[in-house]
Order: sequence, then C-alpha cells, then structure tokens
Amino acid sequence: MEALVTEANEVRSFINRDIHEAANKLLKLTNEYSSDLQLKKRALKVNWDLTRIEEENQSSDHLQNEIQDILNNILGKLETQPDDITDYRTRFEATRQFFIQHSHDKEKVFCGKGLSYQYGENDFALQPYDIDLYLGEITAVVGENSSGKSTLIKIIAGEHLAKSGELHYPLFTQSNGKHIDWRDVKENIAYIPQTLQPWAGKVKDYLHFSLAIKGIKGKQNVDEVEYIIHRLNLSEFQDKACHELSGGACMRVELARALIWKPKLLILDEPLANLDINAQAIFLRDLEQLASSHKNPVSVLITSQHLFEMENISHRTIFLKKNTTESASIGEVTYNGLTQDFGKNRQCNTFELSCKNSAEELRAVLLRHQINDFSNHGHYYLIKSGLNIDARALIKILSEANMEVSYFRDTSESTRTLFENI
Amino acid sequence: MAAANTSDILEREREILDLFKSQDITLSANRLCDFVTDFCTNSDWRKECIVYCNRAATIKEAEKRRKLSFKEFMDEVTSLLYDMMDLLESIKNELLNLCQAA
Repeated sequence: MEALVTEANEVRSFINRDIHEAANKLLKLTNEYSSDLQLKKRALKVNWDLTRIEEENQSSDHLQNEIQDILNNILGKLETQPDDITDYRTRFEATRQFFIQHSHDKEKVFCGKGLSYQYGENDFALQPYDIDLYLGEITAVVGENSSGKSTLIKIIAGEHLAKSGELHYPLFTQSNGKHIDWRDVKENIAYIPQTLQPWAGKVKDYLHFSLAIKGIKGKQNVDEVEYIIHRLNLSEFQDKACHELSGGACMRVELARALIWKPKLLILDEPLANLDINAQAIFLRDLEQLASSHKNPVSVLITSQHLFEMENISHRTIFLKKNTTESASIGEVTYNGLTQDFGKNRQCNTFELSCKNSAEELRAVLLRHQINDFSNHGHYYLIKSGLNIDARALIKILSEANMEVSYFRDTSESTRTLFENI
Repeated sequence: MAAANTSDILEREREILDLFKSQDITLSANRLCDFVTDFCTNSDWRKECIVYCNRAATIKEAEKRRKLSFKEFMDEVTSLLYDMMDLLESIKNELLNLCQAA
C-alpha cells in the first residue's frame, strides 16, 4: 500500500506548517483506508478541537501528537494486517467506480419548440421560444417585470395553452407535440403558484391528505409524511394551522407538499418573493439538494427576481426582456443557456460599487487607469472596464487609492447586465 | 451550482463527513437522510435518520432557549455526530459489500 504511506507522509509534512490541513487530510485518509471507526472518530475530534483551541488561543502541540498517533495506528495495521487494508481500499475504489458507471445521463423531462402566447389582440404577447428541461437540473427564469416569466412557466405547467409551437413531455407521455394527454402530464408535475392558497387543518394533516389524493395511503403515507417533515425541518410546525405560520414556513410546507409524492417536474413561481434572507437560503439549499437526488431527481423550473441567488443554484438560465411598441408589449427570451456560460463572450467587465468617497474622487481614480465608463445609479456606481481589468485588479486600484469601499460586486458574468438601464 | 453528477456515493459521503467536521448538526442530519434515501433500501436506517433530525432540532431549540450550558450543548452535539458517524459507517460497509457481491 504505497499510496497509504505516501498520503501518511503528506499528512506528516503538514503537521508543523499547517495543522488544519494535516487534520483535514488525516480525516480523509482514515475514511478511505481504515475500517476502524474509533480512529475515524479520533480524526474527527482532532478537527473539532483545532477550531476550539484556536478560538481559545491555546497550544496545538497535543493535537500534533494525536495526529501522529492516529497515523502510527493506521500504518501499524499496515504492517500487521496488510491484506485487510488493501482489501478495504480495493472495495472502496470498486464502490466508487460502480456508482460512476451506474450514473445515468440526464433525462429530458420537457422539450418545447417555438412556444408563444398572446393574451388579447392588442395585449401582451410572448414571442416564440425553445426550451429544454432535464431531470436533476434547476432552470431559472429571470427578467424584467411583465416580461412573461409567469406566462412561460404556466404554458409548461399546462395552465395556459400555447398559441403556437410544440410541447413534448418525453418521460410522461407520448405525444406529437400538439395533442397531449394532460392527465399523464399533470400527474408528474408539481406547481407552486406565486400566491399560496391557505389550507385547512394542521400541516401534518395537509401533507397526509396531499399524499392520499396521489394514491399513497396507509403506512407508506405515514412514513413519507414523517420523513419529509423531518427532512425539511418542519417538526415544530407540524401541528400548526396555515394562519399560524410565517411566509417562509408556509413556502417550506408547500415545498414539502410538492416533493412528497416525488414529481418529475417542479414548477415554482416567485417562491422567494416573501422570504427573508435566512429563509431564502434554507429554501434554496433544500431545493438544490432534493432536486439533485440520486434516486428521485427532479427537474425544477423557477421564476424569481433574485438574480444572484438564482445564478448560484441554477444549471440553466432563461432571461426575458419586455419590449413595448406603439401597438403592443412583447416579451422576448434574450438568453437561454447554461448559467455558467453566460458572459463568456462579453466585451467588457462590469462592476457595481458603493464607497464613502465622492463621485469625483472615484472618477479621478478610475480615469488614471483608463476606466472611463462610469455611471451613478443612486445607491451604487456602475463601472465598465476592459477585459484586462478584472475584479481583483479593480479592488487593488481602489485599495491603493485608499478608497473606502462599502459594497462591491462583479456582475460581468451575471444576467443583471441584461437589464436595459444597466 | 449544484453538482452535475451526484451519483458518486463516496463524494456524498465525503460531503457528509465535511458537515460533521463543521459540526452543523441540522445539515448533517438532513444530508444523511438524503444519503439513506438515495442509496439504501433499509427502512430502519431512514427511521434512524428521522430520529437524528429530531435530536438535532431538539438540541438547536434547547440552545436557542438557553436551556443547556455550553459544555452540555457540545456534549449533545458530539454524541449526535458520533451516532450519525456510526450509521454512516454501517451504510458504507453495507454498500461496500453490495458492490463486491455485484
């Protein structure tokens, strides 16, 4: 087991210069090479103790000894029971390979081609767009007010009938794109509208009922409700009624109701609208983790005005823009692709910042570095620079000029740059 | 950005181990639930996870209401994390055996 010896030596080399890294590597090493649970717990405890003694300004000498001792234990076993360690490691690697080989390609849940919608003859119209949704992925629909975000998702949810185009739900039903068996489709779609409808009774009863109308009854119903309540940390609310809950708790109950019967497609219309920052973070974290489940992956389509939050969790982004002409207003899809690809072909870098210095002082500093695209947006300044000046370079410029920056954001790769007045 | 390929079981295990390391009991219990749901058929383990979620919620609530001293709180957290580590190890061993059998 040369690999174990090499990794153990690497841990040792870190003990004196970076004990945190040594402790971290030790935990990984015990996990991958040892079947001794006590050694793993000791390695975990070293990591906890390191954080504590750092806070209390204590010496870490005894932890250095503990790391050495754990390493000696593992290496000692290598001398006495080499086959056991080799066998454990081989099985560990075989398991990894097994699951890599059995990972499946992302399946397409929905495919729309040339979809459009018109409310009335001279009313808002959504211009034709194409869209694909995949299992295990989150697709964010963002954009200006009244640009057709809700209209777009209602077409996919089957709440609106598209004026033109084809819809396919390959996982749910065979269709030619025009005639769809909506019963099959809607049995697999969970839709959470912008305005939540209050429900009668306690949270727990509401979830039991929601599952029962999907045909899941008896013990399975009880088990699934209990599971989702605890998984989404709703246990403190389970005996409360709708009117007794905060907006954030209500939204999490709706998420539980939507996910409990394991739909393939989850559509959410502005779920973050009434949530505070903490509630948003918890909601998005749960959504992200549950959507990417290995056993029951869900395709999530979500509309929101929270661009940065959406860009952080989404795999794909659709940006909608509203254009108003003399006769009508229309919504157009101006970006539809992978979130990580947005801004790759940009012509300039874009930054937002606030500082305590005056606009003139800031302008003077920027001009000295040939940055002349600078505008005041009230609470913040918008700066556009050449690609040669990235966030790190700009911060360095501002720091060297002793500017008192109170807010800074690099929006170069954000759809925020698509808003017209930005 | 969510991981593109979530099926690598040992990466998920490492993620949980990192949560143990950071002593985030709620998220540890939640992700252990996901791990069991995704990779195991043993329903007893899922029930065990629910118990851990409950314990995490109780500890957090007690801390919020200042019912525990710092030492008591840390003892509870440590005990819960060790119990979860036991379960994680059991699951891992069973998966190693299953893969070998396959």
